[in-house]
Amino acid sequence: MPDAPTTSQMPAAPPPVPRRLTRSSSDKVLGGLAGGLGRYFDIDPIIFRIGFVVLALAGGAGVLAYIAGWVLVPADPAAGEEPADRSKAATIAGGVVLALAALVLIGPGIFFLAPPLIGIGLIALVGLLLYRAAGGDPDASGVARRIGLALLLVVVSLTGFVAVAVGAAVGGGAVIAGLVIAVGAALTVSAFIGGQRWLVLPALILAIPLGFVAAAGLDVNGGIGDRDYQPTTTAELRDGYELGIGELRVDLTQVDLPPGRTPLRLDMGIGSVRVIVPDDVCVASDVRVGAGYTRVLDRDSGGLDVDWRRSPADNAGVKRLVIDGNVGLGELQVVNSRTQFTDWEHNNRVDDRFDEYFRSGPGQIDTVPGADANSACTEVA
Amino acid sequence: MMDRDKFDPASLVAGLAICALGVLLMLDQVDAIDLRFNYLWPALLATIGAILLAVGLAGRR
Repeated sequence: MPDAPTTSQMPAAPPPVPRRLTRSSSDKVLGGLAGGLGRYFDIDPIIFRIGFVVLALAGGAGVLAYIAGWVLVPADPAAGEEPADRSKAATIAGGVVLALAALVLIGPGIFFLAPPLIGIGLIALVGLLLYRAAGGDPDASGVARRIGLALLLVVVSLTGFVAVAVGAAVGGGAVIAGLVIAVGAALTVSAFIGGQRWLVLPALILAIPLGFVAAAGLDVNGGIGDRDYQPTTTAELRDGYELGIGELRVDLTQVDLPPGRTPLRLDMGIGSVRVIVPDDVCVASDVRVGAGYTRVLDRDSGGLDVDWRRSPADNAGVKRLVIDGNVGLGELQVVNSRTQFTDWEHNNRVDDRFDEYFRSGPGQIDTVPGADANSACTEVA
Repeated sequence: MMDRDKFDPASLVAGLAICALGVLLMLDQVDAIDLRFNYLWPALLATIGAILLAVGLAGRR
């Protein structure tokens, strides 16, 4: 009776080859990125090609994403060649990001890159985490577990971003900045005992949202909700009005302001400040908006870093309202009549101002079509 | 004496870059400077770029 073949006599299966994401050299239209993604995820590459084209048409993000992928993802290794070391990708990415930093610093016109860069950066981060989680593990359950952990890390990071932003906006910015320095110092010291590179993640989770809150000048300590003020006498008129999040409306049309300067301070964290002033009042303004839009009668500006001072000649006898406005994220509008707050027109103006900002940088002040000039500034009462 | 096998230059560069970013943020918090988006973008990009470059040049650990 012939011996049945035993397991020990069967030829050993070859060891699993770790899968790597590379740009395809055989299925390529441009750089082989979509072909490589399709091969890696076992999906028709046309899906990725359509995705890149759709993103390219939606603000150009697809073009930048493709270029970034082209730079970061290595090409198929030639026969007999070892696959490229992952650290080369980090080196190239570092060089590209530093070059972008220099470009952004050189000219605000380069700023048109900023909005797609944020999206691409986040997508790249998530993609990198998933790629690192899945790469090189042939065991399906192991891949699923690691991808799950990577997604959990993304969720925890996003939650941390929001928590830090809220903490900074309610006044904890100095503490958070101190923590960033402490984590940086710990990382520096750790370099001499082996390094603790994972500390980079908590440091960035602390620093990035704090930076955004600080740059926008966000302060949400003034409360939440909508506030309406309609003083009828100068005694009822406060020196300033403040709100953390919401809409602040101040109607001054019932107040007979005295000749000379009347200061009015307006502070808003996130939201809208809308002020109605009588026709016979000359408005001077010093407005700072972190990100958003501002309009004072017939002039407007918007985008990021809006700093707008308007100081008409101080004629004796003129009623002069001096507005000191500070908005973190949102808008500040000063008009002569409630009907001038037209949302459709307003939204278009905001979009235009942001487009203008990303084309040519901050400081653009424009005339609002159809709005009357502030003639009260030149008339002596 | 420093153990060369345990020295990680990437952690050193990343730590110093993060410290510099933290100092910038702290200066804004104590009103020594007025940080705006125009300077925040390049500061963040420079920090992240320096970290990536250091990690890439130092290699994986």
